[in-house]
Amino acid sequence: MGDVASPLEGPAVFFDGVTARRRDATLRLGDALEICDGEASATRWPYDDVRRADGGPGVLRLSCRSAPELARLDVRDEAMKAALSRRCARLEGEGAASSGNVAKIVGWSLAAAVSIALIAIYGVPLAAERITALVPVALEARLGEAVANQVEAIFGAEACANPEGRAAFDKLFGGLAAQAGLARAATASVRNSAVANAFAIPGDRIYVLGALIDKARSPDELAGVLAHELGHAAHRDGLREMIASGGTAFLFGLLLGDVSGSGAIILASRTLLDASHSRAAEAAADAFAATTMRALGRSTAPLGEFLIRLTGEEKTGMIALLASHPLSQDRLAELKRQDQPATGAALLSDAEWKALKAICKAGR
Amino acid sequence: MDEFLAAPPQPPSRVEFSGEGRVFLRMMAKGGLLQLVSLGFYRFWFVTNVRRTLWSATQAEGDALEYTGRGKELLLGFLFALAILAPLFAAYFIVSLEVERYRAFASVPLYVGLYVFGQFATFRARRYRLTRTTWRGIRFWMTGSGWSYALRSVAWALLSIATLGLAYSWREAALERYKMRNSFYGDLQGRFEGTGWTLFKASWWLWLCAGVFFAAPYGVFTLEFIQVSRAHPNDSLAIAAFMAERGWLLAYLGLMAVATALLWPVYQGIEWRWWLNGLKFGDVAFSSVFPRSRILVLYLKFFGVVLLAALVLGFVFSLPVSLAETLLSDAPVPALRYVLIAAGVVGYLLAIVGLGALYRYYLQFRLWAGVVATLQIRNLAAAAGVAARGEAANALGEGLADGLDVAGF
Repeated sequence: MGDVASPLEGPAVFFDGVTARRRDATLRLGDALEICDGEASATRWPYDDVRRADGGPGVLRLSCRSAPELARLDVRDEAMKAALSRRCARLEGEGAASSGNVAKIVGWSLAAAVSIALIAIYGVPLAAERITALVPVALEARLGEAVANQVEAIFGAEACANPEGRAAFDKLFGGLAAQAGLARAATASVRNSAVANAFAIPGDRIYVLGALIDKARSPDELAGVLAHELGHAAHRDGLREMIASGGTAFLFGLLLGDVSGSGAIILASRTLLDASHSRAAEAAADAFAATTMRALGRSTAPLGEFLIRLTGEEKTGMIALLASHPLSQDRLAELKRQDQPATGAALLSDAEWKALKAICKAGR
Repeated sequence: MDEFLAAPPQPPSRVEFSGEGRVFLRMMAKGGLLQLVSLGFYRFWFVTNVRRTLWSATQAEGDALEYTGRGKELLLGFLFALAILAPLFAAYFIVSLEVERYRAFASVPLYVGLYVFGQFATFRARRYRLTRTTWRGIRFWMTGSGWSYALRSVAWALLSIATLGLAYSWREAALERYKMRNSFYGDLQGRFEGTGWTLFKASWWLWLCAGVFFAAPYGVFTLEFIQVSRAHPNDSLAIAAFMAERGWLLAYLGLMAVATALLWPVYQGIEWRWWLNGLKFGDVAFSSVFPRSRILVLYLKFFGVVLLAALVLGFVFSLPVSLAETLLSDAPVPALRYVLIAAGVVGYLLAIVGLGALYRYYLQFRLWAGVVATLQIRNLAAAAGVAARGEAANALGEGLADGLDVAGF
């Protein structure tokens, strides 16, 4: 009778976890929690096994580690709740959403994120480099066929084929390819398009888009671009880029899952990463172009000037970070540094150049 | 015995919802921020908290539901799913490459394969959630095969496409019947008594509106466009002239696209009510007077609040930013520029968190509250003697659903 503040008995609702019957029970707080629901023997829950479960508002819901998994006790009486909280030392147990647990989750998440970032920045390019070297040429050719199908679905399956133009283009490209001395035979073709661009895809295929030829002012400008793309083919950059961007897509997309709405951030960081991966490749292809042009006795500066004309003057800032190609100014400076006056014969005669310029026009 | 038969039927039991919107909203904002700083990994604990909150605030005859799943289980399920998905995606990549060699974009039908897998994951995720739901110390649980469900789902989806959506109501009924006859509360088997015909009768006018006012004119326009671009290949001027001539039609189609999008929540409202009225566990039956316009109203409220917040915040923040822009435009120090960009990124991320919190508040919390408030359970006494059966299922399905981006809430 001495401990008035701590009742030894109180009402509760008991579910035994075996049937769904709702039992009105009397709780007795002895050396263990005793649940009396009118049955002959009371159910005993040791205090240290009692855990809190999610109850409704104003309800202290308890479970017990040594009872059936889903046995529950709903306590609504305030005095009884207080008495139980005092006696059950491990009420909150493990798995509670305490701030310590949240800190642990965030800490481990950040560690995982940092390791993913490190893998994406350093691991992926390294792995791509190694894997590229291991990919057999035949496999790369198969890959190239798949990509070529898509390219031709977008830019048309028909190459520009004005006969004189085609002959001039083949002569220009043939001379460059012979000088470059690729281990595998590269092919190049022109597609009619309003986009001024040229690109190399896996399997040593080079595509030149018509508008690029329109904008070129001399055979040396176009030759520089072709030599640059030959550089990409020689270094197998298309294949490496495919492996690397596939790797980052996998890492970012699958591991981070669908972070509610931060897709834009993921896309931006992927673009940034892919760009930083490819900048070194662009510089190497420029160097390859310079070597090839010099060996043919031609000047390297026209390529740089052509690039400036295509892209316009660029300002530094965010663009510089996002640009997949090194800035044209930087490239021009580098190409000028390697420049030498033209000593060899012109790559094409005036008549051939005129025919090449018209490769996509007449004859269609 | 006669006395027993003559006894009046028990009045239906009400279901109560006692969640507090303010608390939930605060929880969403906090969870969103934690998700941000953990780069998304907190999501497993976040959805667990949402479910625990909603379940425990829902009481039938005074006793609250309980969600016994934990974030750690979802994390494990996700890691297992990764181990399955990684080789699957690799195989998918190789197969699509081979198909692309044959013909450009021929790999697009392979997405059907991913859809099947997504349906499998949805079924298994439902099983996880159901086996983590308990009431009065008894677990809900599920049998059935995820693959069988996925095949049914795809077959019905193909039929729906073939009938221009007319078969959709019957698809929903068939899939729900499969799910519910494989669902149990203890030893009480569930079933679904809603029919495709009732759903169709309640919703056919939506189908007609969307067809007459949007799909048909859109189809006609598309056919014309294809004709014009075939007749004048590579002639952007002719196409531009065609578009200019059809300007009024384009404006109409844009307007109708928005109007048709608003029909979707109306349909959802109809379907929810139909679904609730068809649910049965043994002799326990559910009925609902869920207002059909309720989901549309919630969507409109959500968009309204977002629009208002965007206007107010846009006004408050654009002033200092544009001021800083003019001050910095000639600044020689790019570092300050980067600070401004970083501030923009942080602002964007916070906006995303706010958007997510508002979305979950209106379209999960308020929706749930509305459903529960209009729900009645007849003959709940039939569940009184139910015996425990069934095991807790693993979270692999949840992980797969997460990896394939088909997860619900």
